[in-house]
Amino acid sequence: MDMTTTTDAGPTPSTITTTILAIETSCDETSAAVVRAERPVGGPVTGAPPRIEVLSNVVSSQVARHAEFGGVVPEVASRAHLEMLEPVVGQALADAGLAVTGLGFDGTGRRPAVDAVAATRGPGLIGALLVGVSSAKALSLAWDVPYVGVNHMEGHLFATFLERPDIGLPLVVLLVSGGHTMIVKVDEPGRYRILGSTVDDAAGEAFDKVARYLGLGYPGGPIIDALSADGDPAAIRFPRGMLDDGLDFSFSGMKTAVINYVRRHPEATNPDLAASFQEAVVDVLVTKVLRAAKRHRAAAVALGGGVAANSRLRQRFAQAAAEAGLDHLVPSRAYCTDNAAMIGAAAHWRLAHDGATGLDAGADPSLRLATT
Amino acid sequence: MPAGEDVAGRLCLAVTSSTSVVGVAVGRAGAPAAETVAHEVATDRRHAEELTPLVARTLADAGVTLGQIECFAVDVGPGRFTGLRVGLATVRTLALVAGRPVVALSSLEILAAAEPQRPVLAVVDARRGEVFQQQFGPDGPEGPPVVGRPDDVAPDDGGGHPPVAVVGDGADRYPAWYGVGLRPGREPSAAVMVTLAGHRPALPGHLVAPVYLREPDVHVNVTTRHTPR
Ligand SMILES: [Zn+2]
Repeated sequence: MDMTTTTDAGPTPSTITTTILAIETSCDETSAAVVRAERPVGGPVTGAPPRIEVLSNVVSSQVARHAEFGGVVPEVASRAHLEMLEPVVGQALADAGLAVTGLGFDGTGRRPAVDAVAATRGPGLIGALLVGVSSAKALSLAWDVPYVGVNHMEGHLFATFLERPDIGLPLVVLLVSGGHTMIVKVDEPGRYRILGSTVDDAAGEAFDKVARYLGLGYPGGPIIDALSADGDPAAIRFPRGMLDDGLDFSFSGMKTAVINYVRRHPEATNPDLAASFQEAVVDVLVTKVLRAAKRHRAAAVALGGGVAANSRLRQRFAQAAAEAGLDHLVPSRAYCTDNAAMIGAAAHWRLAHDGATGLDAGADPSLRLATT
Repeated sequence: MPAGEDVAGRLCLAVTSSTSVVGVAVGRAGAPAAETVAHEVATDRRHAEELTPLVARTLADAGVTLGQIECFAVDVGPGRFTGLRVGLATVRTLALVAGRPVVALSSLEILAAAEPQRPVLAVVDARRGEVFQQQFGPDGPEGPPVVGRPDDVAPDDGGGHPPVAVVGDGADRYPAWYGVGLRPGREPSAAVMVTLAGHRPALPGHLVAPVYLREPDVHVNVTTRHTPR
């Protein structure tokens, strides 16, 4: 492994600085990032989360390509990743100041000062994942640096540590997006327990389906969020799926309730419907993550995933966590939605903890989070 | 499309992954297949798992490093979409790092090049009851590649057999339409690609795109309220 070793003058132990190029192509965002972490030589690799410096984080969203279909079309996503990946990687290297030439490569044998290459290996759309995995493995081979395959969900958990490496542990994270809805307890990096998950639709999926039914377009989350500003969240009392029932979620019935309501009340306005539906979803999400934190004696709570960009969820979550006296993080929106910086953060820990991933590794569309 | 670069005689790394075979070859562009170092692995869905190690192994067996490779060749399809993208993402990335050009070769022309008889019909299994097909004469392709059901696109002499030599896994899949016979070129060969690369223009990698020949399969199932308010 080609690592830079810095020996500081004075009593500080020498540290290893590792720079990772990370790639994320699991769904409809093509992303590449360069992240750097330092740890003491011979220092512990478990326990405290690494302190990560994000040198660049480039995201190319395909949302416009999928809008006409009302959802992510896997084959459209895979084709777009192949078109966009090289420019996005080149931009990430350039933004990090690591480009050897404009695109980051020059054919003279010189190469960017990158110590490892990481890619999301699952869960996600298989055709989409394989574009990032293949390119990352090729870079690993060409640059002769380790390859690290990363679990996308672990990436979302590490997004918390990007902004708050000092956040209290154990930490309870609510991960909500178009593809996943779960509550995860993080005892420390690498030690996870899934406390609850959805029994049917993901929260983001419910937003998409309701927006689609109301003829509002795609993606549903941001549209409903924006429209809700003009509506009354108390206008309609939609059911709160499984609210009193443990830590699992159910959103399918809530979506159906909106459709049934509109059939009975064609006069209902979209802003009221949007605001009331959003309120019902947020109620359930906030209630459950705080219930999980209390039951499992969490020191802190955090949000993650694309739905964590929802303004009402951010506001109600922060308020509820503060009232409960819990250390909490509402991450920047850039670290909620899919991004390669979080993959790089998880890759740092995985590389130090497990070592490199073999070049004979592929992708796993239904990869699970390893739990303890 | 820019004119491209003549890479005949240069050290070439070729990759095919458009079918159920992943193949890698290293040799001088234009040299006969027998003079290349080539490996192939049969795989159903593990193209990504197989390809990178196979590149490393072929380079090692050829006794060269990636840095010594002067041009690349890649099978751009038509074929299996995921396999194609694995090959293209890998080769374009390697070419970008090396700063070397890429020769784009169609799966159908690679298949045809392995067969001396002319005319030859190259047929690749397109799944869903269809094939990708193109006929090649003594002077090259006779018409563009097509996609369709064998009963629509297969040539027929009236006896259910085509009046030409036939190669490719699509022909094996539909013997009733393409006849039963010896088909040495069932899948595209990476060694043949090295030979072809000496006779085709090489382009900057980012200009090399897959040939899908089919629009993405898009199912939209939308329920909407009739009068949005
Ligand atoms: Zn995600």
